Amino acid sequence: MVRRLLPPLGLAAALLALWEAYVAASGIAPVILPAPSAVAKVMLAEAPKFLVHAWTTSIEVVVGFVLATALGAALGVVIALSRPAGAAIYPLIIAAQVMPKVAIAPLLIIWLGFDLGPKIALTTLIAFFPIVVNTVVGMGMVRRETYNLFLSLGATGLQIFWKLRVPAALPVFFGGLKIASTLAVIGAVVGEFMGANAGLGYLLTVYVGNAGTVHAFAGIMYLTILGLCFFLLVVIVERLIVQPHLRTRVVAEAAQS
Amino acid sequence: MSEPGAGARDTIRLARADKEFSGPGGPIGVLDGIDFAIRAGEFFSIVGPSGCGKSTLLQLIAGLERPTRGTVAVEGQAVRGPSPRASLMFQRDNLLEWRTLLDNVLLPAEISGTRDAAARDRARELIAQVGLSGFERYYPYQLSGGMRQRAALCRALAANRDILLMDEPFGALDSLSRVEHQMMLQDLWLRRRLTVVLVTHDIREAVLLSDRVAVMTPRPGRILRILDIGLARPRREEAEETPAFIELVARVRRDLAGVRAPAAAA
Repeated sequence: MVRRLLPPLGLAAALLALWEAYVAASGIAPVILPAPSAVAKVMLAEAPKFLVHAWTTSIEVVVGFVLATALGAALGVVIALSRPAGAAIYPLIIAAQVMPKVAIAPLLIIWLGFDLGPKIALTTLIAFFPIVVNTVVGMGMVRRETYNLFLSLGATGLQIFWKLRVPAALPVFFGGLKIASTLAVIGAVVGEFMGANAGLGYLLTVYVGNAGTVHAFAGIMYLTILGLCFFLLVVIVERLIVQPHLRTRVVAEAAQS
Repeated sequence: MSEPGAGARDTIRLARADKEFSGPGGPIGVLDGIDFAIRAGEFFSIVGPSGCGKSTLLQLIAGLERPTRGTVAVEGQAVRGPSPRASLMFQRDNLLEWRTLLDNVLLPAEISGTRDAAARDRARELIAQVGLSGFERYYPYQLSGGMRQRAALCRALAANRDILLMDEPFGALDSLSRVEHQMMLQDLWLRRRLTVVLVTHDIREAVLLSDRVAVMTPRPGRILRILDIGLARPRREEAEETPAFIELVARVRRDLAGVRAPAAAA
């Protein structure tokens, strides 16, 4: 673990050092580009305020992500298992995905108010697409022969679903969840940009509006940390559920077919 | 030793069975007037050029495909769906990668709702019979190709059915372990008195293992000839050096060459 973390942390430290050196050497105004040390100072000094707003954003991300997972998995299963339903639903999902979500954000505020509602809705809308697609792909990973084998053993539809399709789909499904987890943070922040009174996205709009560049950078750093934590959470759940040899095998298998 | 299955009742019967699949230019005939019976306890092989429909024939017996015309009956009953009397084995082991060897072998019991201590004991016994003791908790990716195929055989036998349908089960193995697996299959069959239907393109394998060998023509597949093998059991690899064996292999080969020639001329 430490060995895997060392290279990226080292690279990040090097980049920050370069940035620090550039700011010091060029004498650039902090309102244009603050030094990392100044950003870190603000992050520490005003941590309580940032954390309160991070909490709001986290709720939006988690609730939106859970809804996206439920919705995406349900739709993915229906599309994968029923050809007519899939033929009807899939094009609409593509259309919904192509439609710029940022454009709908103001409408969501009209419909759902200024509270958490529109942020959660936007998060769900942005995050659910990769979950649907990966559920459909995962459910389709079952070979005809294996399916026939289950049939010849007298398996019921439910047994084929739970003992064959679901376990076969899980590794790919988690691939979708990981992509969705990063999109969920974007969804929540975009939602907050459109009109909010709490959350890290809201905080950013305030700071940028007042030329508080150092604070804006601090907010972005907190958002990045939040996103990473959330991604790691999904990875940890994946590790608990999907065995290691299946996590790597999916890529090889997909490449073969 | 008496010839197993000789004089026994028929267990699988196909009567004028045709199979067509729909293609872009209309129906494509895959099987044409298949008409033969397999006796209970018999080891029956089907050889034929690739694409002659021998796998489809196996699917008809398994009840995974329905004949376009004619009938397929197992134990006197027309097959109308996946047959509860036959288990299947393919060239690919189709083991479930997320299950251990033991859990894969216990799949049939799990599906029929009889996964209990007795089923576990039976599974362990089967695993021991194919020489996989000690590997019960391994995952398929940790096993060699031959071990995986033996695990698949255990799973097929664990379903405890009297008919074993095999579609080139050893086709992916190297020639040394193929012989080893063929001998193991013969031993299991002699001990359990199963009816085995083996689809293969390996003439040697068919002659070495079978009571009878059916030779098929290219598509649409027809049964050209059914050959009685009649070599003494148990047969060992050395049997392949006997004149009788060599002559039988040559006959099947000539039959296959004969059915290929017109197609090549056309």
